[in-house]
Amino acid sequence: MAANSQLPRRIIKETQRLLSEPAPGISASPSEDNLRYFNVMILGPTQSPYEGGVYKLELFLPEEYPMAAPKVRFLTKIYHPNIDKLGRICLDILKDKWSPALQIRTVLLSIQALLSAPNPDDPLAEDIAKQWKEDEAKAVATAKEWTRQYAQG
Amino acid sequence: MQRLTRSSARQREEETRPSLPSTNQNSSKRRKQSTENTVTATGNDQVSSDKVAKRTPEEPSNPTTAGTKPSASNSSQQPEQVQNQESDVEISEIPESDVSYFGYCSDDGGEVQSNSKVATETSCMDEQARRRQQQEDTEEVAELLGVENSVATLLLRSVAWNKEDLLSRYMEDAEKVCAAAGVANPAAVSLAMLSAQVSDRECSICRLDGPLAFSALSCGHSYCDCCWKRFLSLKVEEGETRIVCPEPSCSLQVPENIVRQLCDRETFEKYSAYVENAFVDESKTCVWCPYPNCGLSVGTTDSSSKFIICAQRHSFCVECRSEAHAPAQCDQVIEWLKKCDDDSETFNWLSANTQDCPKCQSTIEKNGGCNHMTCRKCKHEFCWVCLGLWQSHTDYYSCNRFDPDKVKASEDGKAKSRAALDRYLHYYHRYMNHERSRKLEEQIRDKAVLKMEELQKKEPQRLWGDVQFVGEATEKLCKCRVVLKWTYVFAHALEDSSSQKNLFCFLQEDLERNTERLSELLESEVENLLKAEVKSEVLALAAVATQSRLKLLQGVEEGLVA
Ligand SMILES: [Zn+2]
Ligand SMILES: [Zn+2]
Ligand SMILES: [Zn+2]
Ligand SMILES: [Zn+2]
Ligand SMILES: [Zn+2]
Ligand SMILES: [Zn+2]
Ligand SMILES: [Zn+2]
Repeated sequence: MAANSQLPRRIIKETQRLLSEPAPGISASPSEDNLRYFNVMILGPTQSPYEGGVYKLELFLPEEYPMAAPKVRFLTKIYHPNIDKLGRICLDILKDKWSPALQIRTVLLSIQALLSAPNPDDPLAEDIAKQWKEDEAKAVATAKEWTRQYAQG
Repeated sequence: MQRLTRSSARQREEETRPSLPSTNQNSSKRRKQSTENTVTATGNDQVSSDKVAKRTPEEPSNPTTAGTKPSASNSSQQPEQVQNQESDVEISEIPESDVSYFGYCSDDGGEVQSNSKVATETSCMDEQARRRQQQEDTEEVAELLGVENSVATLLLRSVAWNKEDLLSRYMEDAEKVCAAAGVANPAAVSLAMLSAQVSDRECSICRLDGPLAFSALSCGHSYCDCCWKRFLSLKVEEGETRIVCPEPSCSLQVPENIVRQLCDRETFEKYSAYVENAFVDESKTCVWCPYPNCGLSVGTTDSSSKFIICAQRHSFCVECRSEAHAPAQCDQVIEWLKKCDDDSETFNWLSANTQDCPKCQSTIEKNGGCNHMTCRKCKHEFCWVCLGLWQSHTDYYSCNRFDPDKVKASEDGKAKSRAALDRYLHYYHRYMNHERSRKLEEQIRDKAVLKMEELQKKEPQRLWGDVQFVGEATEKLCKCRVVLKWTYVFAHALEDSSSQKNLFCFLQEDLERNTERLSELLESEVENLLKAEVKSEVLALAAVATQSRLKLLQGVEEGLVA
């Protein structure tokens, strides 16, 4: 593939490994017309309100990658204090804690972990975080409801 | 509406020396320079001090600071700035190149015996001295601990540049100090970089296969030099001042010399400028000058006063970061500026900058320093401050007292809030008036200085000392103005009719009278000022005004007990 030859070796190698040894509950495959754009699927972790849901995300590797962090966004609607309406994710390694020694795989695993452990103290979606702090049971119920409604089927 | 201007001094000059051209054409130019932003500008100084601390790189300031500016840009500061000139600086402390024509009045101290802390602003470590200090501290730590300079820098930064603190803590628990600073344990510290080992293995960042040159900090996390360079350059570009090893689990910091080894010159220079600025940001011993677009740092340790002066002679308060505000207290200043901000700016400005002639009601805008106004239309002479007849001011510069009875008498129909507003306006009006006068006088000084320089070119036989006294006297005048300005903030906070207030008003009156006399004299033509008898009068008045100023400051410091 012509595009492939211009792709940095790092991206080629990461892509190969993502395809050959996918992390459990995560799949990521590059789009055919843009090898820096990945279609991602993350399964809602067990024992989380997102269990049973299948979440679609998009991941893009900017020109400066791996010096700059990949850009990741949820495409499936999700009720989570650290993910906003537009699917943007509040995760330190996607921002100031990014290091070129991290990889697509580590990023996706961290997002999966974020689904298991929402952090309402560092909110991106203020209203959801507020709900989460005031009445966690109700927030979890809403998250489950959204999982059923938007992340299944 | 016809704009009316006045200047009693000028008018008198015109009468006595009709051959000299009037300076009135200048007043239209000067009128443009208003103080309309003064209140907010002063307020902003305070608020924006943090922001201003990050300089714009292209900002020309002191030549000695070229190249030390971080790139974080915050140039959207207000264009107006309070450019007060302060000069309680010993000439010896100022770099040669900084000594300008109207220079420094270093003689204040001798005039009043005082070990006053309020009365004098201290000039502190300048930019160069500060950098020398930083360099010396770094080298000393490096030598004592047997580490490289750049490692010593990291250690010092971890304790806000407190050298003594670092050394004593290091003696107690070196491991802990190193961990906190993000440097490897002491034994390995000197090997900060295992440099350039060529290897065939794959670099974990770029995933390229060797042979590649690898480098690592003493943690051993090794990456190819090309990745290091991209990594460090990007971090510097982002303005990061504490770069840590790329390995996510590692907390070692990248010392400056590694940046020099692996990056291009431009990147390194940028980074070392950050580190240098970090000294000011992190150290407890110096601060950024809060004046917009100044960018100089000032040391605070050798100051006995909270008012300090940067090398550009901006004088400011270390504590509240506004202009040096003796005799007012920081909390009074903060409250005052807030109050000025809260009230309608237009209203404040109007009340401070225009008056109606008490006789013919023409609107008059003040355009000179002193308070003796003559309406151009009806020739009515009155006092700008109280609007009273000028002739009736027997003690004719005394116009500083707020008379609560006078307000009470006229209070009948007025609500109480109105009385409070009147009280505030009384002080505000005078506060603004002095600020405005100072600005005008600074312009007068600048013009006088230019004129003097011309004169000297024409008459080189004239001694420099024969002309520079005007600049010096105006400097003194401006200092009196600043103090006078803040006396009204101080007085506003003092209880009316208390004995302290009476004494304060007395001191204030004295300062005001002498300041206005000096102002009036300095408004005269340069040619007049060059006369020997005028010169000696200027010198005498400047000394008297300065003495009044110091007496007032000292009085306040001693608690205003008679
Ligand atoms: Zn590499
Ligand atoms: Zn490391
Ligand atoms: Zn300054
Ligand atoms: Zn202060
Ligand atoms: Zn009139
Ligand atoms: Zn005058
Ligand atoms: Zn008056």
